[in-house]
Amino acid sequence: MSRSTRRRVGPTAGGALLLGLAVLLGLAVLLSLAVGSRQIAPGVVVDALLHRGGSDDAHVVRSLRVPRTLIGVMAGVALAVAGTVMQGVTRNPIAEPGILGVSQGASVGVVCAIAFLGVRSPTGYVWFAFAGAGIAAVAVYVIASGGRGGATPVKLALAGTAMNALLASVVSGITTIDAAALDEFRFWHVGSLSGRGLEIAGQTWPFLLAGLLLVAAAARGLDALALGEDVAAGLGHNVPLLRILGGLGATVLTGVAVAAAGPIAFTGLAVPHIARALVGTGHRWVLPAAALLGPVMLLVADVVGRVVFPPSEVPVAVVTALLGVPFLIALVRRKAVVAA
Amino acid sequence: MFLRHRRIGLGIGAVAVALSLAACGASSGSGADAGTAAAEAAKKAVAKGGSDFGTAAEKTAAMGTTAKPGEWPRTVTHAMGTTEIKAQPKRVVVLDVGELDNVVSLGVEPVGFAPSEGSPELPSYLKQDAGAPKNVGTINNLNLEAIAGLHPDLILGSQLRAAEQYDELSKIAPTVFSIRPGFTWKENYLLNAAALDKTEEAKAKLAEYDRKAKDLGAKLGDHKPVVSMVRFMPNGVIRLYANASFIGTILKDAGIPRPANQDIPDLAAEVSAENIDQADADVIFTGVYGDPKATDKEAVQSNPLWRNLKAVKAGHAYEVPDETWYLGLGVTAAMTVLDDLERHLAG
Amino acid sequence: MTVRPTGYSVLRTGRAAVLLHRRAALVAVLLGAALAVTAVAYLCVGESFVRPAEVVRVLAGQPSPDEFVVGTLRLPRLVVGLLAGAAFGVAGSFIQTVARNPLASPDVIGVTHGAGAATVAAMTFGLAAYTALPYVSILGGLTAAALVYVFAWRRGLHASRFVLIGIGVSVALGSLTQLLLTKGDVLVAQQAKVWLTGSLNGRGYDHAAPLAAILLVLTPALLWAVRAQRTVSFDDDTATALGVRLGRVRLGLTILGVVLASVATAAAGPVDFVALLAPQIARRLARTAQIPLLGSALTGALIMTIADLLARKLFSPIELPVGVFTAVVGAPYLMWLIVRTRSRSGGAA
Repeated sequence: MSRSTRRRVGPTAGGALLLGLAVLLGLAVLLSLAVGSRQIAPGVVVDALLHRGGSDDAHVVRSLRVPRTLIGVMAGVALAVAGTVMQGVTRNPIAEPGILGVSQGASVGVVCAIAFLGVRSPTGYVWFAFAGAGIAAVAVYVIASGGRGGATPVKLALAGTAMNALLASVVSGITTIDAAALDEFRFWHVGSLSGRGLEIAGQTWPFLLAGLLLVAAAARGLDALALGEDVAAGLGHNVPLLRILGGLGATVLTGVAVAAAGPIAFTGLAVPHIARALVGTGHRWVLPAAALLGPVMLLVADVVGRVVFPPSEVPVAVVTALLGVPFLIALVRRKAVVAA
Repeated sequence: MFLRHRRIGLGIGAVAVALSLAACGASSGSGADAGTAAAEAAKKAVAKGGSDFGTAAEKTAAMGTTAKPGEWPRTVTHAMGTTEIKAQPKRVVVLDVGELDNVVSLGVEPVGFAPSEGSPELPSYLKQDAGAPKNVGTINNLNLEAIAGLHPDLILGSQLRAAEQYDELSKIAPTVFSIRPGFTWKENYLLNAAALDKTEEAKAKLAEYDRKAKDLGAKLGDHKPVVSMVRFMPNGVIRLYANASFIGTILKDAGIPRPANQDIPDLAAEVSAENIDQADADVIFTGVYGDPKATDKEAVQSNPLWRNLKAVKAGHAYEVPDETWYLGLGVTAAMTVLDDLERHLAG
Repeated sequence: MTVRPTGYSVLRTGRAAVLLHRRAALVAVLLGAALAVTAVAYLCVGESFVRPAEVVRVLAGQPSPDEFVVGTLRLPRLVVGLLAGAAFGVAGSFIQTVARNPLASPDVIGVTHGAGAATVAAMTFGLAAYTALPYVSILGGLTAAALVYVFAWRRGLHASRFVLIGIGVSVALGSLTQLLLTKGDVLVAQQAKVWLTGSLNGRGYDHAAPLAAILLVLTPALLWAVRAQRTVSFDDDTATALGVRLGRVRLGLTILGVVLASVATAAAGPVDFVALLAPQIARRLARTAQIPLLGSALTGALIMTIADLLARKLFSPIELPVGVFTAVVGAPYLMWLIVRTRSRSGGAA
């Protein structure tokens, strides 16, 4: 956490890096459209996108690969940005939607809606995912702020872990008693991009936008907060407001990701660290870098999941973890662990 | 800073190696109980990929009893050894859907039943004749106290499901285990019947089933349609059921041909939504495990790829009940499946 | 040591003297009493209620109509629960002491997930007989811990790096387990899932025996660990001044912790959070600076027993896995303690 580990990039270098990441994202999107358990030649893919071809291959590209790629991009952006903000707000290097119990809260919201309120449409789920994520986030923060010393990183992570444990048990309890909810819940249990339609993207994009705007409003303050609460307050930032803005943004983004693709752990943890390794610690650069890297990671993981055991597919959440971990280990070994 | 020593890793590694040796020693079965060791070996081989995945049926067929009808006590040989049953069992507990179907088809109302985790109720096709068995936990999480509280005089189950609880179960009541549920359903049926002294009834039922299957085959004539079995499962899993499955055995018995990718000695082949055209045949039967919404069913069937399939275009894609076609695993379910097949193929 | 800190008494028997933290001792006695009451309740309650007098008769080895239910079904399971809970508690206390971080419990550094992945792999591929599964599980736990160590070691171990890599390896192993479950035989996968939530159902003396044996073998080591734990909680300079070889002490405590957690996981399945919660709860109850070993063991056993009692009884005849309830019992309590605690926050908390 020493000052010497902080690094910032100049506008030119930062811009070049972001451009590079954008190109990388473009490649990942193309890869996601072109590669799958079904062999389709790249020319046919392009043709399917540009013309309304009626071949089987064209149908596969348009009706299966385009929606899942779009959902992958949305979930990737949401998770990576949510993770970055959570790490910044809590000043905790291991904060992310999964570890702080926010993803689990969203899942519980969905399960309760199905089991107790009979909500059956995805439009209904979304709101319960937000509510669950929000309640879990607030509860964890309130618990961690209790006692002396305020919400220290360790207390936050501890409260998040306890919340995760509790919510996981609630879900197990409900699903054991209510078998119908259990079946439905399998869908929410392992994050996957398969079988998600365009309508889910259509329903959640306004929320993604809202979450990103909230985060953007908090971005400048996060840099000051990284130097400490006192410093941030001294620099004229309203620390509680900053935390509320950031926390709200991260919660909405987590809700979007869970509603779109189910719980996907690890992207929110690993991507911010990778982004910081590339562009330094300034949030002006880290946030866009994470927003570009998140979907790259998710899409590449999804493609790997599609081709590794043909003809069947491995859920993206499984692959992100398996691919992300070696990356994270290498990173953590090379760099000193930075708190924010 | 903590743990400065490289030796920690080495130490943990060393203990790991020591324990792996211990594990090898333990798994090679030097234990005193040779019977249990043999049973373990059998269970190990039953699991997918084991060497005798295909021979479980033959092995189960060799089990049973040498007792004559009406002869009590009788000794039944089964997957876990031999068990003596003193008198005609009156209070039977069944640990799986297959055993439930078996005893109900023999006119026995079980006192206890362990449903699967997903559906904690009696299968609807057996509800009428099964009486009101008490719930004794779920298939993979048996409640032994609940079983003991029913004071059963016979427990029927399978090694694959409950080998670990065999010792306790056999202290509650004589316990007879088949090797595994599934494609060995006919052999399991005869084994259960032997314990209930209803071998004749069981053979008669199987003969009736056989006749019905052959009749269906004859009715379909020389140009039988090729039948593809598609089952949508949660998390995007789509299975094409093959020969070593319950439904696979029924289609074989009726002489109904299968597509090459499903004519394999395995439970099922897996495909993804992108490759659903590999499921094509003259006729497609689809089942859904659990809630359709948890599966890729809608995404697949709303896709032009599905609508372009030969069977779908010709209107020969039918939805069938999962609980008899895939979960039934007994003769009652098999008869219903034959009725369904006849209605769709010969109707 | 000639200086006696406040709150401590010196207990002497002959020439041996033990420094006793009075409140910690009182808490241990109370926890022990609570555990005894819970254990009797555990044996009484179930599908059918057995009167305490009858339970005592069974325990005394006298003939009783309830011998099967109490002696064969409930008692072995209680024993496994007590031993596994205690082992988890002790394992957690060692690893948290060494790491000086409450999050560095065996759950977090990959032990439970390693054990889980190894066991599921053995089940799916039919590699080992089910009686050998405990050993496979121990092997998996140790391998995962070694992996985390090797990955995290870079000119010493920094606590945050260790926790971060531990979480990473845990997540990866959890995903590997998922992968195995979806690729393996459906029937085996269903069984593996029940095991993975952590269940005491169907656990008997076969599971208790290796656990008890290893605990017995480790007893001298545990006695050493009580002293060692205290030296580790000194800062490096003090320890060096006192001539303590911290490296060795930490090595010993870590290996002990990993072995205990792996063995407990082998018996009860990867029951989450007992190892994390028990030491934290015990320390806050005793209000000591360091984590009390006996208190952690008793708290672990208590959490496990209460949780399994609820798991057996609450939705009867459906048995829920004990892992569901360890969190329900422990998590709210830990949350309450975090909110309430007025003492040190930062480092040790």
